[in-house]
Amino acid sequence: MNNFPDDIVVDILLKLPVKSLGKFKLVCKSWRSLIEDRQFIKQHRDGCQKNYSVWSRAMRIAILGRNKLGFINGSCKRENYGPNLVDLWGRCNAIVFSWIMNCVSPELLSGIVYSSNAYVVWKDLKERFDKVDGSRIFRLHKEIATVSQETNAIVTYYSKFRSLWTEFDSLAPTPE
Amino acid sequence: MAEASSSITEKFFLTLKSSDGDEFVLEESIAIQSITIKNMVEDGCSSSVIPLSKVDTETLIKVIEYMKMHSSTSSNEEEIENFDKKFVSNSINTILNILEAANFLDINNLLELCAEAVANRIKNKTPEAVRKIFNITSDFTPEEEAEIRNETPWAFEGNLDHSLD
Repeated sequence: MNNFPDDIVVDILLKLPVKSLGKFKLVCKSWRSLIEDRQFIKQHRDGCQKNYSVWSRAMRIAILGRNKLGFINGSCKRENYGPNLVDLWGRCNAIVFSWIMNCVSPELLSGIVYSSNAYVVWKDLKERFDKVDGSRIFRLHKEIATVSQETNAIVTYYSKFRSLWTEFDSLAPTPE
Repeated sequence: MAEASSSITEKFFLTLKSSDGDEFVLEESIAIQSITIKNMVEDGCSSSVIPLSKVDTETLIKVIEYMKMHSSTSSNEEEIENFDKKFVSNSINTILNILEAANFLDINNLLELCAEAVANRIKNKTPEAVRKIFNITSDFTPEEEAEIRNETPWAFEGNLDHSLD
């Protein structure tokens, strides 16, 4: 199994958490240069971030479909319910909470399982993963300005534009 | 003529030959999950035996098992999920071999599945254990090692797993 191909190693490394990557720089020089490669870092980071926005949208739709959106946007509070409804609130909250728990990766689970409120967990996940960062916006801006058709079909070219525009819009919405 | 042959659901079979010389006969519709094989079929090089010089018999059996499970319309999602779970519980060396084969045969699902499995298995391991698993000899001097450890000391905290599987 000597000379395990680099592209497979990259496939594996992309799926590792940052802590493991820091550790595996020590494996050998070629692994170190793979991990410190700028393209790799970008890809690794995009993988984490992209996942959050897609995940949160999908969760939102699923929760909305079950008419429980109030539990994650904070509008459905425990205090609003009288003594005979509070148990029912607790049950619904637990149901929404368990949906969230079932849909996050195992590493995150340990961090949220001791919380008891679906809204708090939702807010916490948003705060941790929904980062709109300036460098990403700048890069998108640059990419939109410099994208060219080259030898692509017009359809591919247009789709590329569309995906850049939509991502840009979702990161930096036009002021009303 | 072309119409007649396509209206009958005739099954085509391909013969795959492992690096150990064993031959496996497989339905074409199953085998073309591998983009490499699909391209060969489309280019018309599949009339005889397809030699897979980079895949040994043991690995090829596993890959064929996977392709059969993931192509048959009869197996439901739950069955596939259970199969995948069991599939990744193979030894890490077996999975690495499969990973290499999946890369060569260009079977994206299998590649993803195995890469994820390997990542899960190695994420808590020490760099030394990872070296052994991947058969890598360290090319750092002790001073360089110390320097890297100092760069990211937090990465080496906590319980590390020394096992090799």
